Amino acid sequence: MKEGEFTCLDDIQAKMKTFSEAEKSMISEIITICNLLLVNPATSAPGERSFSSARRLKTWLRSTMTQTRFSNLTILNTHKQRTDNLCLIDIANEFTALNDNRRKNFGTFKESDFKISG
Amino acid sequence: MQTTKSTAEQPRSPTVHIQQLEAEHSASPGQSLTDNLHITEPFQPTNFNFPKKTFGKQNRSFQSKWFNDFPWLHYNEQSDSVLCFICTQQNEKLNLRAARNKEWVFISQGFSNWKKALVRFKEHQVSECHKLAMEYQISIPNTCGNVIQMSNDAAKKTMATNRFCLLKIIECLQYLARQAMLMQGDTDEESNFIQLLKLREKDQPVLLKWLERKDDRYTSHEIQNEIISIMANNVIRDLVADIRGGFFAIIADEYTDVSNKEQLTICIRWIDKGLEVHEDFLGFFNIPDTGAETIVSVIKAVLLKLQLSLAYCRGQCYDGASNMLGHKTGVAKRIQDVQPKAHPTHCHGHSLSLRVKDTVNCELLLNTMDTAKEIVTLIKFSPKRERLLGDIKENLDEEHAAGGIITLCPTRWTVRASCFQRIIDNYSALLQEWIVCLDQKLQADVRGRVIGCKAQMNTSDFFFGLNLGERLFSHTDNLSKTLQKTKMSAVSGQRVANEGRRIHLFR
Repeated sequence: MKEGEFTCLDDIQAKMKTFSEAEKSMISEIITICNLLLVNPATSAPGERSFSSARRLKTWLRSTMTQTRFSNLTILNTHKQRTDNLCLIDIANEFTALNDNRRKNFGTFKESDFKISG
Repeated sequence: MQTTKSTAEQPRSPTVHIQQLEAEHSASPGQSLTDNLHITEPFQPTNFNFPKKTFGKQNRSFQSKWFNDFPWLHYNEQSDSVLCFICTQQNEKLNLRAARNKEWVFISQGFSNWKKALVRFKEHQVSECHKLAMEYQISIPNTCGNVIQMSNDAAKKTMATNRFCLLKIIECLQYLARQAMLMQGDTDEESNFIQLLKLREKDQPVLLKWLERKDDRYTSHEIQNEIISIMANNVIRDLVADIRGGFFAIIADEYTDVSNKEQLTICIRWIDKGLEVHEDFLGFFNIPDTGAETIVSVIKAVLLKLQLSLAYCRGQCYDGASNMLGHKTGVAKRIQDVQPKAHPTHCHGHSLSLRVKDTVNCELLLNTMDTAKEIVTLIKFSPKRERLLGDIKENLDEEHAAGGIITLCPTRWTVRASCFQRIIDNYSALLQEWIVCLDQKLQADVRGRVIGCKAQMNTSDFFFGLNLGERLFSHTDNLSKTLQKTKMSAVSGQRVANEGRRIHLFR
């Protein structure tokens, strides 16, 4: 590391990312300090962003939506990546486990249920 | 059957087996068969190491070739004994009540005297009990014998179809939620959700039957809500699993939605193992009032629900409202009472806004902004005048690239440069427009405003102010945009802002 190579935290962060796990464990305290510095937010922009998605979701036409549904929909809408990666089998099983009648109707979901047999 | 088979693959050692034999045998003779009526054929393993038993001086065991001569033999691996499959099945169905001399050893107890095996098997095969059972087995196979089996098959198939359809329903909901689309329509039939399912039924005809059902369609609003909340919970669980164990910061803000409800939004900033910064939204919470106490209790409840401990909280960021950052009882102070290390930050974006507001607090710029706002209002709130401006610009045949007038952002102080720039671009077109406007019949107040704008635009003060403002605001706009980035931390934010101090030079 040369002097003057790092002028700000971003440079340090970028350098740290190139380290391997073993190297990181050697400077774990420095990593902790970096974490502490990085974790402090500069703006409440994510909050404002969530308002934007809320405006998209709760429009004049949808103003009577219940609070739970509204909150859940915003979660699914903002975390698009995670929503895409959801395991639908788990969700279906969770859904059927809530009620005896459903268990009788559906049984247990398996990966093969995505395709229809016969 | 399933259990018997799996144990058959890993045969236990014969000694253990025989020790267990008595106990199991007396407790539940023939259990594996009588409990499983749906077993369709006798269990006849061929590659099985049948345990040996001592009879006098000889060791004997079951012979798998007996299965060929006596196809009704059902071997019970657990007790190393055999049953008559047919008799047992018919006995279960209460068809053997008329038979005399029932051989219980073949029906329920289990036969294991291998020395006399062949003799006894032959005897049983011609016994009245077995004949009767055979009669039932052959004569009424389709009416009684297989009904259970058949209905079982049908039920299994229906269940598989049900599962398939429910998965499609969940997929549709996932798509609609992801794209923030309307789910309900004027009627249920018109809703996006049902229509999406209908679209998909073209690929999956099974769905058609499902949707034609009167009940049990699992498409009602309650079901939708339930599935959506399960999905949202899963997303949050997934997210929290990533966050847990590291430091995090709380970002909270309030906002009033269209149905006039106060919404508190809670976001979380965290660093993953690869030092990548994430800012994630945790949810909206309806709060009865905006008092610091309410907000703190909501934040604490949410963190508790997600099993995130305040002990790991190292930062907070709010706008500058007094309920949030108040020195004595603000939210930040209350959180710090619990976790002193949670460093509060005044949102840099908001404080930049305030700073800019202070900076431009001189007559020249204030006048310029008021006039600019008036020009925008005159153009933007009248389709006729906006159209006219477009026509004039075409006739002028210059500055094709320049767009029309855009509105001055009413809420933020830092998004104004582009508005000023557009006015500068359209300066001559605007001057012409006012002349055309004044030729037409206008309402008295509108006429007054147009005259005012025209007069202002002819002063050098306004033109200077406009250019100065544009310079100034383009810097702050840039700064504001930089600060909004997710990777921006409080430390880097400070540094960027310090560079932005140059805007004071303009003053």
